[in-house]
Amino acid sequence: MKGVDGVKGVKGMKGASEVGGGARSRSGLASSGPWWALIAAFPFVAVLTTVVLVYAVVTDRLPEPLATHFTTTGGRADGYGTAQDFLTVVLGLLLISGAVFGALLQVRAFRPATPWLIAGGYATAAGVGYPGCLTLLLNDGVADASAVRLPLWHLPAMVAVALAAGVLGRLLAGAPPRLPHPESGGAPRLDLPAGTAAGWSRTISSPLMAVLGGVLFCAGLVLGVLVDWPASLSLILAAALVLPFASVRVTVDRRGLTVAPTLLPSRLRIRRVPLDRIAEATGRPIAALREYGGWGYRIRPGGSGLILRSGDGIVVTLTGGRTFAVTVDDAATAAALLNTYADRARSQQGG
Amino acid sequence: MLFRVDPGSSVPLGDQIAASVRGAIADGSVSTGERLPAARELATSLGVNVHTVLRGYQRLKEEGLIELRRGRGAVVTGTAAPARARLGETAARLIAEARQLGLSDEEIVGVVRVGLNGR
Repeated sequence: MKGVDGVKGVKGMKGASEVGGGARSRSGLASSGPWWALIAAFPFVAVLTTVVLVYAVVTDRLPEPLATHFTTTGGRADGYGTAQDFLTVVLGLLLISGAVFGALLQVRAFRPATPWLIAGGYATAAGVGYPGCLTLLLNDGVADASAVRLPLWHLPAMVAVALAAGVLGRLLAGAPPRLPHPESGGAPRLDLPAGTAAGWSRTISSPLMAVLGGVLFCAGLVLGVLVDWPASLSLILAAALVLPFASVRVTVDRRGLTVAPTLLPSRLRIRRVPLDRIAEATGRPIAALREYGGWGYRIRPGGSGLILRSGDGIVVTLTGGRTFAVTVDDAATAAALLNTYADRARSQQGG
Repeated sequence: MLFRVDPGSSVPLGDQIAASVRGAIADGSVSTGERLPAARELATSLGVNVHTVLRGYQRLKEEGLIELRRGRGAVVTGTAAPARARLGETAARLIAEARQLGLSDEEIVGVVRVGLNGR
């Protein structure tokens, strides 16, 4: 059996799992670091400069106060402020959104998403810069701010400009850097003779989610009876989103890794990872707060996971380099079976 | 809970499923209150017929290791002590050995009865 021979003890488990995570990704972005940083920072710098330039040109001809907000129905001015406050708000928005995107890009383990983050930065900068400049230009040379009108075609134009900027950013950022195929072979395999089928299945329940869902649902009911139903609906909806996580069945079989709520029909899955997307699986202790920042379905740079408690869990490294984790008892057996089946799938594809 | 089935083996698939559960209870990796996957789910998981799984579950129920409840699926019972599961395993070995010798079901029961009377 292919999965069994030659893999035991060739490499430490630790080395293999680290390769899938941060170490390799970091070196890749560092080598092309300055370029990416320039491309990512460009829209914010450009829009900031443009807004300041426009402000400098029109500042003498602006009314005091100037119209800063318009009705969406007729484009009439319905909000006013001083020019200086307006400039501060626009520049502040640009700086804050720029800082947020910069911080997101700093999380370097998440490389396949980098071009999309850059595209988002371009769209955001354009989406702030367009109305900022437009407001200044509309107020230009008007004596009374209440007379300022916003032609409504500017709204779709704003969306279009933001989208176009996003596309430009995506093109400038280039193709997502391809991660080298994570080599497998380090993690343990389950001894499973050819022809034998195996399935691993286990439930994990989360009292935390059950209580949270129950409280939300009861609060929704009480609010519905005492106040009104529309208000309670959001609480009941939240309960409906939380309660399926109270008890979850994790299955590993010839189809891959499946996570589904216990209490719902098995077709309604939380997540399925098919075998051909699995590079390697390991069973290891997971620290909910430190690694995933909390409990529930967590999405982190570099991966996601259904984290219902701290402790034993399956961590799957996907072929794209991201990871998916789920906390469950006896994870080592599940991970070993997953590796065995992933080997089988690979050998079938190869030959 | 790891289920293994080998379609090439002479042991019926349902018995193999039952043996997986019995083994898991015996080695303590499954404990009281643990819910086994629904028969239909397990059948698609292993690529076997749903009736095969149900036969295995039925056998475990007769041994008192699990409870079958409509809508709640199969739950490992409170009385399913590891020792009790090991006894089931021993019985399964006895039966397999006797069948290999060519004994009929009647004769196997006979062997056990002789053993009981002899005490």
